[in-house]
This record gives sequence, structure tokens and C-alpha cells, in this order.
Amino acid sequence: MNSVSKQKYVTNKQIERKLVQLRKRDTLPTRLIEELRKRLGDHKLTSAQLNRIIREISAAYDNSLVQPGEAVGAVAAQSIGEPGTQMTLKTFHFAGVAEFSLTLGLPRLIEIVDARRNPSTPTMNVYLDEEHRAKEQHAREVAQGIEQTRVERIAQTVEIDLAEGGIVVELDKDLMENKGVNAELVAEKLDNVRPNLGEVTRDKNRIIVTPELREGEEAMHMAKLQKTFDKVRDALIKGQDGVKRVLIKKEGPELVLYTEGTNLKGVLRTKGVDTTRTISNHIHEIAETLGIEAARQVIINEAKDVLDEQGLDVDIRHIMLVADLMTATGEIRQIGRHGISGEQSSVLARAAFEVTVRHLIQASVIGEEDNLNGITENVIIGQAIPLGTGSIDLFMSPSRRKKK
Amino acid sequence: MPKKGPKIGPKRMTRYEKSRVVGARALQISMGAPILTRIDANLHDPIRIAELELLKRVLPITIRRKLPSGAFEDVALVDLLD
Repeated sequence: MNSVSKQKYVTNKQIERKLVQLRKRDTLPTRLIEELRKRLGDHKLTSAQLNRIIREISAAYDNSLVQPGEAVGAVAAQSIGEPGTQMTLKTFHFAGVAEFSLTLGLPRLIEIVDARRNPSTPTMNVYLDEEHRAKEQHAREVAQGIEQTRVERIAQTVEIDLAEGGIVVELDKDLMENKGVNAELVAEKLDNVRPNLGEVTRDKNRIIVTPELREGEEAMHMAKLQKTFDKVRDALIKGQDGVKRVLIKKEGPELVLYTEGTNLKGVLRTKGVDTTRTISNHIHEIAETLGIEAARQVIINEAKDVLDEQGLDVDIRHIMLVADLMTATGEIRQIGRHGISGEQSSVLARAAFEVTVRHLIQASVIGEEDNLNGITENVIIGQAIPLGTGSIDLFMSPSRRKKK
Repeated sequence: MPKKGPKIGPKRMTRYEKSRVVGARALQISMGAPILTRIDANLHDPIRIAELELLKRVLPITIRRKLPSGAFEDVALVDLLD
């Protein structure tokens, strides 16, 4: 027996047991535990070494945590605000990633924290499932299913025929092929439009829509024809409403679709789409379709991307705090007047923010109470603020002194 | 098994707790409170004296750690020193 073989290394099973234990204790984030799991396996470790590693990591993690009492909000505001001032000087708009423009920089950052309902450049990154992500042809099929195709885009002409009292659509063969539709489908879709447009007849690539006459009417009313004309021209034949354009791009080994305009709900229902990775940059849309946690993550990602793109290094935890604040109620709230600042529970804090007198009068009319829990309130009345050393209560009991 | 520690907050004293304790104690000392440990005769700065008392674990002080919910825990100062 040599001495080397006597040394006992921990087996993977033992490491695993240790990690499970660690997770139960709930003192380390899952991500760190996962990283430990990945890295620990390859090394020959003794039990003592394993314990030491875990102890050191736990200690390092504990030391990296923010201490209770820290003014994290103020620090976050400054840490995002200062780089923000540099952004203004640099650029407002930035030419797009591919062929369409994307709002970036300060305007986009403002859009995110304002939680706008209609972002100026909504886009989606649509990832494809295994069947469709490899070949261009397959990807195009999916793209055709997503991109909205309206009659106008596939017709040579759309005209009002006054003599017949109908709308004549002359479809273009090449355009239709390009979009993956045919005349039959167009006729069918026009027939299915509700409220009913009228009688739809098709002769090869010519479609005629004849609105029905109402009782007592002799001839077709011009205004009604015009209305029907607009409806026919804009009728959705294929794709998802709102998706104006789709680009196919190669991203590493796979093909990805980039869209101008979003309709996440519709796209997720489309065949060939990888629903686990497809995302939109429209925060409200994400919150509606995927839930508030997903929206929080999108806020973080989008804000981080904007800052990274400008070469500004902002710690992600500041952004996470903002995202948490915006989504904590389960709904998206903007930072500012109509959101977080305007909804503070303290009257004094709200009065300090905006339209002071109105808030104070309103509060006194309905007999509001203020528990003086926040910072602003205590500043106003001239007390020590509950932050940092001010947040700590001490008790002294001389008799309890331990003799040692 | 993990060591027993406070249920609320970190195992060790935060920087704010330390400042608060030293500050409060230094004020007492500056106003003539009896000093609880043996100190060098040349030491006159109340803040330094308070720090020394803290390190020597002689301060009979309790910190009330509160949560926003209103729940709190009273932690003896010595339990936060390691």
C-alpha cells in the first residue's frame, strides 16, 4: 500500500449531497451552487478541502451583500443617472442592428423607465424550433406566417368600380408568391371579414367585392363604397397583426427572425417558433403574455443592452433594483409621476414630489394619516431619517454587563 | 449545522450598527460616563475609547433589528462580534 491511494478523495456523489444540503440551507444563490456543481467535479478534493471551498465562497458571498441600512435607491439613481448624462452628449438615435432602425441610447432608456405603452421601435427576436432553424427555406415559411400581409401589398390595383358598385382587386402573382399566399386564400379571407363586406367573387386573380344594398336603396352609396374599399385594401390575409416587417438573419449556427412591430401572442402560436426563447422588447406586451417576472427580466435586459451598447458599465444590481421597483406590485409601474413617485403611501412624500398644495389639501379633506416611515417625511419634519445609522435602535442595560 | 446567529440581518455587525454604537457610547463617555475597561492613561479621545470598549466586548448594548413588517429581534452586541 502506498500512501497516495490512502488519501481519500470525495466522490461526485458526496459533492452532490453537500450541494443539496447547501441549497436547503438557503444561504447561497442557486446560480452559485450551480457553478460549484459544474466546477467541483473535475478536481481531486479531500473532504476538508471541499468544506473549505464552500466556506470561503459562502464568506465571500456574505461579504458582497449590501448591508441593511444602505441607501440603495439613491446609489442606484446616481449610478444610472451619471452615465445617462454622458449618453446625451454622445448620441440620440443609433442606426439599427440590421436594416431597420432601433431606438437606442437615452431615448430608449427613458422609454423603459417610463414604461411606455407604445415604444417607438417595437421588435421581436423570433427563434425557430429545430425543424425550421437550419434551412433558409423553412425559416422563410415561418417568416411568411408571421409578417402581416394585407391586400394592398399583394395587389396590382385595388379600385372602386362605380358602374358595378363594387371593389375590384387585381392580385399580383409574383407578389403573392413572395408572401406565400394564393388568390383562393385571399378570397376566403375577404369572405371571412366581420362585419361582412359583401359578396366576394373570384375569377382567377381578380376578386370583386360587392357590398349588399340595404333595403330601399336603389344604388350603392359612394361613402359606403369608399369605406368598403378601405376595408378591403387593409384586410389581413396572412401573418400577425402588427408585424410590419420580418428579417431573416443568421445568428451563429441558426437562423433567427427579427421583426419590426410586435405581436408576441400571435407569434408564439405560430408553428415553427421556439416559444422558449422568442422575446419582444415591448415590456407591456411581455407582461401580458408571459407574466410580470418575464417583464422584469426584459426591463433588466433592455436597460443593460442600452447601457452596454454605449460602453457604459453600470452594475446590473442597480438596474435590477429599478426593475424590481417597477414590477413589485404585479403590474408595471413607471418611475415618476404616474407610477412610483406619485403612488407613495406618505402624503408628505407625495407633496414633496409634485403639486404640494393639492396633495396636502386632498389628504386633509379625507383625513389621511402619515406614519412617518419614509425618508422624505422625516426630513420634512426635521427628525433623524431612518437610513444608515439612523435606522438602528439601541438599548443599553448596564446591569446585564457580562463579566469575563 | 450552521452556527446560531440572529434571525434578522447579517451574522456580523453592519457598518451602520458599528458607527451607531460607537457614536452613542462616545457621547456618553464625553459626558463623563464611567469607562468599562482598562485603558491607557494617555487615551483621551472618547471615540477611540468607545471603539476599544466595543472590541473588548464590554458594552451592555442590545441592537433592535427591525423588518418593514414591524417584526423585530433584539440582538446582544456581543453576538454580532466574531
